[in-house]
Amino acid sequence: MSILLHLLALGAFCLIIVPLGIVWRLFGYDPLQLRTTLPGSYWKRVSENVPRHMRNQL
Amino acid sequence: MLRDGSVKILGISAFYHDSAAAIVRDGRVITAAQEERFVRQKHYAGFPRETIRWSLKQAQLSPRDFDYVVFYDKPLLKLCRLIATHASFAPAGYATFQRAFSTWMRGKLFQRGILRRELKSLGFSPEIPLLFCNHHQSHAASAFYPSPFENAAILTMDGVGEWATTTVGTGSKNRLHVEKEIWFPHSLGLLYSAFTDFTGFKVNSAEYKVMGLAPYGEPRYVGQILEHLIDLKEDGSFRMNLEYFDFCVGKRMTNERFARLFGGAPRQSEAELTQREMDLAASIQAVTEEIVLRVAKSIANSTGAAALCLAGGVALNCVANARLRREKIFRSLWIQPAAGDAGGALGAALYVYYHFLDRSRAGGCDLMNGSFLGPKFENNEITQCLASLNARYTVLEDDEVLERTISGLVNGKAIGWFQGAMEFGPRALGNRSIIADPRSATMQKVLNLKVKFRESFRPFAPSVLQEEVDKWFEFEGDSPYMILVAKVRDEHCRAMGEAERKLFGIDKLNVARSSIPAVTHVDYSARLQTVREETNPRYHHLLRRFFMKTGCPILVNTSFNVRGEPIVCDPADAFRCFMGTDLDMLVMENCVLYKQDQPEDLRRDYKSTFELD
Repeated sequence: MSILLHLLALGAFCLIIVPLGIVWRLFGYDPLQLRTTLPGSYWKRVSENVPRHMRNQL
Repeated sequence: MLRDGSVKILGISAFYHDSAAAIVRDGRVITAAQEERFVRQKHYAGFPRETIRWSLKQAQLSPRDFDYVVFYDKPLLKLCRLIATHASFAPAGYATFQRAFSTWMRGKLFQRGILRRELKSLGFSPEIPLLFCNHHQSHAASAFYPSPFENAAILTMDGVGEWATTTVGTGSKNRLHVEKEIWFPHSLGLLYSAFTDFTGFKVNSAEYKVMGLAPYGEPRYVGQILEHLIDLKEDGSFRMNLEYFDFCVGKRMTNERFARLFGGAPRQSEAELTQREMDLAASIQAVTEEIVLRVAKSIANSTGAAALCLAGGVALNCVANARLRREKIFRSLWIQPAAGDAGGALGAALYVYYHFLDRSRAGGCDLMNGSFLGPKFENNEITQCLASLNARYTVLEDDEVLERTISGLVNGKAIGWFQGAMEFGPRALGNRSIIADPRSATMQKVLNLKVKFRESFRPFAPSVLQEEVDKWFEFEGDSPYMILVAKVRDEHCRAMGEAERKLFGIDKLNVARSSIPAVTHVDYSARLQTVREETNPRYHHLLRRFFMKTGCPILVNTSFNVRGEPIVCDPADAFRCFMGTDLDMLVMENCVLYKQDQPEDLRRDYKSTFELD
């Protein structure tokens, strides 16, 4: 991998990924359900998941 | 829409594993094949250029004739998943982020452009509509549209698509709706792959070996799996405990904690199999079956559907499929034979035709044409190829071909059987097969070690005449795609002696358990393919002649390849495989070749040619 790509990856990780993760954790947002256990069911209705403009759009 | 009024769609799956392309014309499947067969690299992931070239020729279409090209998933949604996954684990996972970042920057981010460029190089118009179907919508479409059902529930389960790993939906006439999903990283496919990796087999490739290993073990880890690894609900939905896995941002599938739970380090590839691996395989198989059954029951309750269609990599688990069938949760079951990502190419194309374009769908029959959707070679093409390779062959009449093949089989020969169109999907169904006599007590070992060069614990599958299946197996109905297992009937089984019962692990394999030992697994099951005359007349005739001669309507049918090699595609591949293994005889359409007739200098070391899977 070229040095430029290394630097870009490092920049993206430090400036986007890590801060995003910190903010999510601060606000209790857990999109991967890593820390969320549910009593009933883990099914997600499709309408909850997919933004309207993306539904059935090809 | 087009000059001749018909709608032609090219479906493509690529850039992950098992690239493939399929052509659908007015809702009918014209061609479908995997690129690995053409480029001779198993699970090839690049753009399916050679498959498309062949498909165009076969369908007698020019690239300019097409109305749509559709890709089987949505790359940008995958990128969102990648970002969300790394953000959730940050600051851990920089190494995998860096690798993924490089992959995306070097091409994946510009997938639309890459597809356009590749299509242009093949002669497609730069203006052709290029569509992107959801990964699991593609799977669901590949399960429902080719099925004979007008209405059905649909279940897709695999490792991961964009976000979804498991989806439940319904199909009605030409419409398909995905209703609910389970999202990454909670994935039955990845859970099974984690055990595949931990037991020393290759992920995304050798999951079927874990399934084959399961009957040797006891499911004594089921409690631990359900207690520590997965929170399984009554409706079949689940959440994995990521504290035991490393696949999100790590190099391996599982971590130290997982190893501690199961008594030590993972098995190294090619190391000796121990009882632990067998018990782990039995346990994950039992958990998989439990999840599939719970999901199926929940779908049956919520949809009231009488039929279920299955696709996604987990649908290749024929033991779970058979359990689902046995439990009679649904009246009918149909499983896409190319249930993995290759089938996504076909599903995406069918989705565009039926759902997106809202074209009517007749239903009532299986659209897969026996899955014989790949390249076919005429006698003159085969003889030309053989002559160029200096092979010694004889061209015979149909009747004589069958007679010689039967004679070879009853004399214990292993025969390469190359006929008609190549199968789409991972199973050889009698057109690119190695066949043998299942009554031989030594055949399983000989085929495994001298022909296939693979682990000796794996059983072979039987092809059986449809009209005789219920006399030999506890099975009624059709299993044309070899994705169901069934028990050998008691009257054909042999009772074990006291000493034989005490045998441990792999030693169990050396005991003949039935009158067809080469296809009987240690739990008396067999991965069944039923053969109908309408679908594959030549193979059916062969089976019938073998039945008339021996009283046994069954043949060993294993794919025509060696371990790590894609199934043979053309006559040259078949001849190379024949000369590199201990196959005794090769039958390609009407050309018959015997090993002892071939020049010695054409023999080759084949075993080391392919990377082991």
